[in-house]
Amino acid sequence: MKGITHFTVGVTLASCLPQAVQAGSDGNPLLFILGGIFGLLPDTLDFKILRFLHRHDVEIVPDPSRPDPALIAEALAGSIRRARITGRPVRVKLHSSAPGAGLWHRFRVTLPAAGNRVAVGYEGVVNTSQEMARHAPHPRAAAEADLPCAVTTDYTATTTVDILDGPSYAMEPLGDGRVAIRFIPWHRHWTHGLPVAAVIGGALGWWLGPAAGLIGGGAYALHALADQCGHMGSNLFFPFTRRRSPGLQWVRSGSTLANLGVVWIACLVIYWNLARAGQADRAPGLPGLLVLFGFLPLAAAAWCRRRLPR
Amino acid sequence: MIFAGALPAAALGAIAGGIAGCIPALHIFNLLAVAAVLAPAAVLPGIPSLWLDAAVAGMIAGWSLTNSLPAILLASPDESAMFATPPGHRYLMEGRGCDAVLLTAIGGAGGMGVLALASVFAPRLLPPIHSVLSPHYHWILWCVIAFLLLSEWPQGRTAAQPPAERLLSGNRNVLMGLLTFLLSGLLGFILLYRPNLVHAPPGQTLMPAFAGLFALPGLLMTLVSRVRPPPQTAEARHEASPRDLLHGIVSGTFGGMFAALIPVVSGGVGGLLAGHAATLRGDRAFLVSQGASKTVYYAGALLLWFSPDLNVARGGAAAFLRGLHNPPADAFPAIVAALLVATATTLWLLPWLGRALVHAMNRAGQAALSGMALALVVLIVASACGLAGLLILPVATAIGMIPLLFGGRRMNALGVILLPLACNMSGIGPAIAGMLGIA
Repeated sequence: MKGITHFTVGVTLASCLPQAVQAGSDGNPLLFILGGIFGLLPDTLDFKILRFLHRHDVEIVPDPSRPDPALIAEALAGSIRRARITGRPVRVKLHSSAPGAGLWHRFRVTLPAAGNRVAVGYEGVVNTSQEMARHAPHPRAAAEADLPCAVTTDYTATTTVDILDGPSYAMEPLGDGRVAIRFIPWHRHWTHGLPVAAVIGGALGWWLGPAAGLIGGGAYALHALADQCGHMGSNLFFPFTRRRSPGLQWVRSGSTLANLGVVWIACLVIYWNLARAGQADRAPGLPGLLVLFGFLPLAAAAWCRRRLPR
Repeated sequence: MIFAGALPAAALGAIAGGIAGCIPALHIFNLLAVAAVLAPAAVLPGIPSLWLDAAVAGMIAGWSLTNSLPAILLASPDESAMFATPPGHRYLMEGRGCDAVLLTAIGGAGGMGVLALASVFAPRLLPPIHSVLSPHYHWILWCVIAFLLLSEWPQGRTAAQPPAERLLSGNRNVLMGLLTFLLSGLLGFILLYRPNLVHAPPGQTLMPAFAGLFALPGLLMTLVSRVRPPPQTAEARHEASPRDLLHGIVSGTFGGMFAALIPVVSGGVGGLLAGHAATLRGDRAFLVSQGASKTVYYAGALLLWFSPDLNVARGGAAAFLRGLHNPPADAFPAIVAALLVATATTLWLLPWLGRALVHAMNRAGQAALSGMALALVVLIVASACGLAGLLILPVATAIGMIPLLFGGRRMNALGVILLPLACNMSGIGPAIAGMLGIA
């Protein structure tokens, strides 16, 4: 899910605790801020720290002045070959490529592609909003390379590489002769573990009191659980497990309706909690509030969106 | 009769506000603050108060719809239009700056339409919502600040570097964003706790800071940059799909309403938050959304003042009117109508203003126009705030330049108002000012 969704869910959890609402109305914002920050913390750790500390054995840096999909395809296939031959994992970083300020080459990497190959397509130049630039200095191109063995992947096979930072892969040899391709291997590992959430909750509880522990640990755990609804999954039981378990594949993490729906419903729950704490006798009923102001407008928005041309 | 007279007043206000919107750094609230000094003696006698209210509503609508012109064409935004500047710059470099302005105007007009529809039931909904939320505004503001700071995405290049270097260079923009926020927050503390530093009209002590943080850095960069935009096309057209338009208008309207209700949150910030929640993608939908949030923020904040059983004064326009008279009990529908008339008037005016600015830009060049705008900003600050304003201006500009030179979002400069006011709302502002030695 998007960062704001995790953040809002954490704040919503805080609003469910009467101590937090009371402290908030008394001028102390700490428990709500903790809910938001710890709701976002797992991804903050992954994307702002662990991503940069992750060691790479191979770095693929496409030439900005001469985008060459064949180089990428060969380098990826070579990394899998190396993992297969040495029997050791090979960590690969595919960097994005910027031909100018605010411009990015777009590659589409399919791993594995049909026929046990890796396919890389060069699609042109996009701006930072991922819209195709009007003037394409290089023609579209495609290249493929044979893979030395069968492979498995823990994420979608096709990845788009364009703006900001490119993806990384870990090519891990398996006992049966295949190689497992782990997509952005530093993401959703120990940071997304429920035992880690429990430790964080315990530490916060010891330091700032039980309510802070419950909110911090709970928001952290809710982040991991929400991510499990997506495709990639998380290593939920670190340190007892070493791998990400597959996601439930209910929603895509960037889904408009899922993110907007969760944020909007969360805001309604926050409002209800605050109203209940302020004037319990005049607070609206939660089911009516959710149906009238939550599910009905969201259903109408989804209906309109589906019928409008892109 | 009085109601009918309000509509032409709104149209005249829209023309005045629309023209003011083309002048970099001239915020409509600054203009109203100056008017507040002059109005009681010179303007008010004999004029029905509703006409004045409608004219102010017209100025707000006109200004908020046209202030994208300097924000995009001259890279000189105010705090609510700054989010439209980066995508607008991409359009500018393709000679299509006016297309970007058109998208924000469509968003603004769409947002105003949705706001007018919402005003049918808003008077019944808003009082209980405000009553429930008002003790909690401070922590909502802190949460907004926390999310804005945490949501900055590391953007540094890291190829072929050891991990520790990657960590630093990757997060350079994040760290610079934090530095910008803290420095601008410190500046805000100083200006708010030492208001005697600046001899400005009441409530305008932050004017030189805003001009330096937001308007001047872009103008200076334009002056020193060797990259010049190509000649601009004056005839604007948009390529946004109906889905982009709906997505942008709806998310921007919600963002604008949120910003209007929650103190200190600006329209741009509200639009950004709503854009995150609605997973806005692409420049077109983003520009539409920013246009909607900006307009709805200013118009919505004014409507809160006229909303029956609420009468909450948010923003400089409501503060200006509060200084003159109490809102008439039945003014709410008239002000909604005035906002719609003003929107229509500004949409008629906008192509003229756009063509005039593009003509001047193509003829004199963006650098020359930016130089003139820079001189104008300095003149406005000097005339409103005197020598102290001129001394604050370079300090604020230096802070505002950090994101442009070293990375980070320009939005972090909003720390100038977010940090001191959030501290004040939580009751810790005086203690922090005391620690800083400025209490």
